[in-house]
Amino acid sequence: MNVSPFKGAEDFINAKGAIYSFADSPGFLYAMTILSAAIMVYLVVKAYLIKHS
Amino acid sequence: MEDEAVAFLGVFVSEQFYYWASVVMLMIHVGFLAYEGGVARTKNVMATMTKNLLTVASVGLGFFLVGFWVYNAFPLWPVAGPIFGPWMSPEGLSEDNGTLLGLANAALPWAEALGPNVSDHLTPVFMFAFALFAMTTGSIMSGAVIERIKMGGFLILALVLGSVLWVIAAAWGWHYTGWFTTKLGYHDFGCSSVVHGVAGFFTLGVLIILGPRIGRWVDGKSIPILPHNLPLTLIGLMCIYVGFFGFLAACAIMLPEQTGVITIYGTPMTLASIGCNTFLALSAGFVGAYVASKGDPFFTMSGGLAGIITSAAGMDLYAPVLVIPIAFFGAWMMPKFAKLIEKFKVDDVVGAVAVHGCCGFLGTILVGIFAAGYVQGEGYPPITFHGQLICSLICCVILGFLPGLGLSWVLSKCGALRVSKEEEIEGLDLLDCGIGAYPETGAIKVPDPELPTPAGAPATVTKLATES
Repeated sequence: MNVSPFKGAEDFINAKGAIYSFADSPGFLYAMTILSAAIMVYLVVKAYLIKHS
Repeated sequence: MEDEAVAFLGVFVSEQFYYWASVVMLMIHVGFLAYEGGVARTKNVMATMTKNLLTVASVGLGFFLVGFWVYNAFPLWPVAGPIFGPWMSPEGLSEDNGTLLGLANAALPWAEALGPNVSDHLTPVFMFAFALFAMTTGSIMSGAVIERIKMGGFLILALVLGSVLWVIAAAWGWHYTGWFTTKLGYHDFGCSSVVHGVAGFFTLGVLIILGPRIGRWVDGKSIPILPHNLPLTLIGLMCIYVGFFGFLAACAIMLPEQTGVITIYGTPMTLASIGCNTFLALSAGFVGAYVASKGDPFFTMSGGLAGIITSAAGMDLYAPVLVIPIAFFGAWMMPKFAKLIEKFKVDDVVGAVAVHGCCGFLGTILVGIFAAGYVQGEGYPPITFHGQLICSLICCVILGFLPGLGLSWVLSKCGALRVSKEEEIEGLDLLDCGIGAYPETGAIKVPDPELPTPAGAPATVTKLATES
């Protein structure tokens, strides 16, 4: 498994620009953005649903 | 002259950065003090908070005397080289090993580098920052064991954990030449395993030997012992969060003459992304714990910490939209970890094993999935799942759980671990401090014949109900 956008150590250490994982897989990051938004919505929904009475 | 001034500016920036990051880190201990004081029952508040003060004292001194040298002396041992110390001569050593020997000797308590020395502005401030990391390990354990541990026994455990065990983990896995990284590609930017995993699982070992508080389980049934002041615990946790922004900032390496900020592994990073990812991990962590615990305030407030710890190991390499689900998942798992531990009748008062141990371990191995393939140095292996797993197990089990279990067992056999049943029932405040936290609560009015009164009636003084 390799999710690094770099080929080796020198490439990484002397990087210019984005260094995060999946930087060359924008589709994955779009999916994570949707998941993040879903987490936020989930919080609001659960705040209505959670009752302790 | 101008060149010298510019060069000194670089030194000054580094010195100031670590100085103030360390001061911010002190908020972690302010937070633990309030958090644990709030969790304790009224009869144990002063003893609990005093224990936190003495954690700072004992681990601070122990780290200065031993720990800082251990960090600099152990990165190669036992896999890639010797332990470096004053018994060695630089002659015959390779250039790299000579540098490591110099660093180890500069970390000795009597070294010139640690005193006021105009040619070294950085070694003492690094020691200061590291000491705050060390104190954090002791504070992680301290909340779990409250209300029944002997003060002396606790301080021995804190000293060994904070001055030796986690420092060995840091030397191996949080050092630019540590063998975890050079031989297994290990990456743990925010110390998920080297601080949290070691301390969390050391605590589990201690708790197994220490046993639960009286009344925590009756006839096999779990009886929750509620915090005496939940708002104080909430304030304490918010202070801890402030401190953790300093903690993670201090994980960045900013040295004079560098042309960019780097991690301890020498890889590029930005401080700005750490700030962004930390607050997202905090937010997503709250959400995960809130929904998993169905709105339990105790779990919810610890969720932020669980989120930060789960994402800390790879925070320098994660995009913000990756931090959110990772932190959410870690914090969502945390209450389940806590309930699993409770099933074994382990009385972890603050959930330290679940939050720090389990989430630290989980966060470290997730780096092997979500940051797999990065190569951190020429000739080093890439980050892999199995590399993260092996190193995290060494941290959590060999440097955490087993020493915690063994040392507690020895202390227990010597009668130096747990207070007597009578002392525990009466409360540790009077035993350890001689005074309670809320004297008015249990106060009674008794006549004092030595004090004159205008009316001739005996004067009254306020005494604790427990005073004779």
